[in-house]
Amino acid sequence: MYQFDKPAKWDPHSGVSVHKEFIVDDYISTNSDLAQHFADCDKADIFRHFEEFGCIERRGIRLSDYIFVDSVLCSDKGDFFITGWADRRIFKSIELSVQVGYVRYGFPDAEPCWYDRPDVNAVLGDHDQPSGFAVLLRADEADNFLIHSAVVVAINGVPLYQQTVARWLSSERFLLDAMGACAILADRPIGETLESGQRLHRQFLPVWNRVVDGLKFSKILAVNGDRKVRSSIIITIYRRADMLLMQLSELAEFLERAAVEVVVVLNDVANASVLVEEVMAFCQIHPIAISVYNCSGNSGFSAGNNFGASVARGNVLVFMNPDIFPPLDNIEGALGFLVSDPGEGLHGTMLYYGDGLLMHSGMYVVQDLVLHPAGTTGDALRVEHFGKGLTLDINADRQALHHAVAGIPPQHCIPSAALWKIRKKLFFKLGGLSTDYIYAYYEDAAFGLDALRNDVPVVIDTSGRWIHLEGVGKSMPPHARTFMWLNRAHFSQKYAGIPQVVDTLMDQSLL
Amino acid sequence: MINARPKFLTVALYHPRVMKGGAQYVAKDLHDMAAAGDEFDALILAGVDGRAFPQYVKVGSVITALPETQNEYILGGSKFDDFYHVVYDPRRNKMLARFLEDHRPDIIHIHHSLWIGLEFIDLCKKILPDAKIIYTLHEYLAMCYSQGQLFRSHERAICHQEAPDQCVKCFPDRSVEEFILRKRSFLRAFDQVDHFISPSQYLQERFIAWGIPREKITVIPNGHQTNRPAGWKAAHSDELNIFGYFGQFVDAKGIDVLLQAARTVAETSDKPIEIKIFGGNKTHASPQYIARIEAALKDGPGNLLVTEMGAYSRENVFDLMNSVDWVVVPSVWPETFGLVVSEAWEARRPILASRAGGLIERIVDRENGLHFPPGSVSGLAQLMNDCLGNERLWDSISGNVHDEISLEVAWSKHVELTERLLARSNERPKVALAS
Repeated sequence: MYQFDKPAKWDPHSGVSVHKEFIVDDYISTNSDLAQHFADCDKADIFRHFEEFGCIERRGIRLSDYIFVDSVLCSDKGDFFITGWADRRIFKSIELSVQVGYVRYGFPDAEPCWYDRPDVNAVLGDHDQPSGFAVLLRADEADNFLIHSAVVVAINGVPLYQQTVARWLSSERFLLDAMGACAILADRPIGETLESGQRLHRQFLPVWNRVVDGLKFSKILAVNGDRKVRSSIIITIYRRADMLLMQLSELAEFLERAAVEVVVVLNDVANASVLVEEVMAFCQIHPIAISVYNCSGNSGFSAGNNFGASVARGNVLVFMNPDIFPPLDNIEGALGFLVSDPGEGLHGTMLYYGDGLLMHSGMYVVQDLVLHPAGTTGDALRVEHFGKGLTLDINADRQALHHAVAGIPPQHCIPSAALWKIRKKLFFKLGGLSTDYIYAYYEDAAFGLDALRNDVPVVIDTSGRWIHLEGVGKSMPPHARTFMWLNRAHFSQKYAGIPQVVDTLMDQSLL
Repeated sequence: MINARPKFLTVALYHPRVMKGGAQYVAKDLHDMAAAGDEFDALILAGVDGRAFPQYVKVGSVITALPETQNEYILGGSKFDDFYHVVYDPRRNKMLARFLEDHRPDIIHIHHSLWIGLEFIDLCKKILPDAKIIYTLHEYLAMCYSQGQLFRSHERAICHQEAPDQCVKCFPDRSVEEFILRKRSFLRAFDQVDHFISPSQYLQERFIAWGIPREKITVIPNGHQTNRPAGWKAAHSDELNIFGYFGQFVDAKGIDVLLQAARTVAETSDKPIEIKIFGGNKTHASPQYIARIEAALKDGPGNLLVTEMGAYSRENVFDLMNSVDWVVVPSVWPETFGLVVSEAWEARRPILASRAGGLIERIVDRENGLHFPPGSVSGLAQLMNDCLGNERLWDSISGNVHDEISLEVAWSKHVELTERLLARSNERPKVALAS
């Protein structure tokens, strides 16, 4: 280390001698707060102080030149989402604290997610390590948290962000805004961000659970609620319900005569009351059994469907997306899927694009080895589809279809949540759809893998052929890209390595 | 209850007393013919946008009588899904169901789905499963969301290949899937229609290609009611230089093409040229269209006189036709029939028409009219140049022009079709409206 009067050291590589010296007078003059402390110290004591504290505290450096807090989101339940950047050669670690009014919350164990910020790197000159950070902190029990007008965020004891009139976001707004800010991470290659995704998923999950727990489902319509039914078709709709009446119209004749009810769950659908009126008008013409439930917010795909399942009266649950339609010709096979009993199995169906070409005949999960630029590796899972890209038409004969699906290994095949069915008892025995997946994505694959792990026979019913009018090519908002990424990270963590997942090599031969 | 005579319900979009327009004239004419004859008991129900015409909608009531008429009713509404063409209003359904139960029509002739709703067909089949449904296609709404005109506004050209991936080029905010579903929705509703009527072969072929079975669609031209006085003789101006436009002031009608052509002719000729524009609904024109028209008129040559004459009606159109020498139909959409052709022919006016849609089969070039490519300024300018002062051409075409089939003839074809459908009536069980 630094020593007084250390003899010059000769560097054999450069052939130059280096003399290293601690400038004690500068240390005293630039740390006036320590003047009293240094009054009785000799130079050796002052050097020891520098070694013990001055290095760590980065005394003499104007910290705001090397660390910065970009933004702070605060929830009214004590969550804080903080983003910023730092020169990590100076700040080898950062310790965060948040002061709200007269209460300071310290987070000694908080680990920020670091990510590459080329704009910052270019200024700092550090191109070896990521300089951007994002961190989600939870200050207190949600019910105990006391909001205040003043908020101060400090890093390593230095206040870097202050607000005298803080604004506090309700939980869902906080969740959406914070996830929106994470899109910069979500948009990067999964190898770079897998670990961050897993960490942030853990941190976001309590916020998500709080959002879901705060939602209420209300029955807003029930028609022919006393009709005996064997199957319940559960349609969970997020935001836009403009295809529902078209969907019901195409199934009307069947729904009028079959022992089937429809359970519609509306997640964050605008003008739900108008929709209910329209469904009532539809039922005047087509006396089907239908109930409509409105959620006070967006409960996500899992909670919405789980709720639908909980109120369903049929022994068989058919989960159907709102953009699923029967074929125009040969409709019998498709409709048969809605009423036949899957027994102790989980059954999916053949799905086709609007133009009649095969969309897919079941899904499988692939495990990829992914790389971080720093040299570490991880296992990321992705969901793939059997039959994608095959030029097989919805009217293809049985032989052609059999040929197309013959190579599907049943031990890896799971149905898409767009249309699948299961007995109600078995659905709940398997725990329903996991609400650990924020809003949507990957919960259906997780359910399918759980079914396979529990030796539930999974069948893709090739006699059931349906059109899936899934929108294509639409860009996703930042928060949606983030929850998709978070869910993938969580899904990967939970299912990597299980035998039901195929490896990259096997994926090359599956179609 | 068995009707003594078959009951004929006409379901129209608007009523000429509410708003004038070709489709409602046709529907009302056919209703009047049904009401006047011995074959049927007739009634008409006209769908109306109640927000635009609140005076026709009584508070709390969906169906009201048209004042001082018999068996003429207005079906008012305040909401309509113009993409999927559905209404789904429980109060409306309740009253419509009762209306159908009370009147029990044997024939329901639907002229439009706008402000009627495709679910009306479902309702009819539920309440009156034995009733026969006839559907007259007045334009291409089922296959084209662009006002049913098969007009590609972004290309300013006729759409010859309607398909979901093409539709999104006109409506980039919509998805291909939505257009697939829209078509399915129309096809599903149309599957319950017993027979379709097309006013032209062109429209018939487009709809057969789209999905209506050939055996379910018949061409019956729109019949024309003559207003021509006895002993009237065709005449023209001395200069034979007055060109008239009759129609809506909307984009697909091509007024801009006419004016640009007129300017081209005037700039290369020393003869005076007069353009008379008879048409309403200018507020429905797009700003770009108006801008093109204004550009065509700006600093125009002194020998070109353009006059905007305002709206016209079928009551005065014969006289107005006589105030021009030539009638120009510069449509850039495939006209389904071209009512203006019938009106011009009644006054023996030679027509300069774009070669589009139903106009192609009605006008034989250099025999009963003149053709130019749709949207072609130079093509129309060339024709107008030929026409200026050309008495020989005027006489030859005017002398070759015949009236469109009369309303009586058209109605007789409707009666024939209706009787054929009724004869095929089957014995399906009746189903009551769900309570």
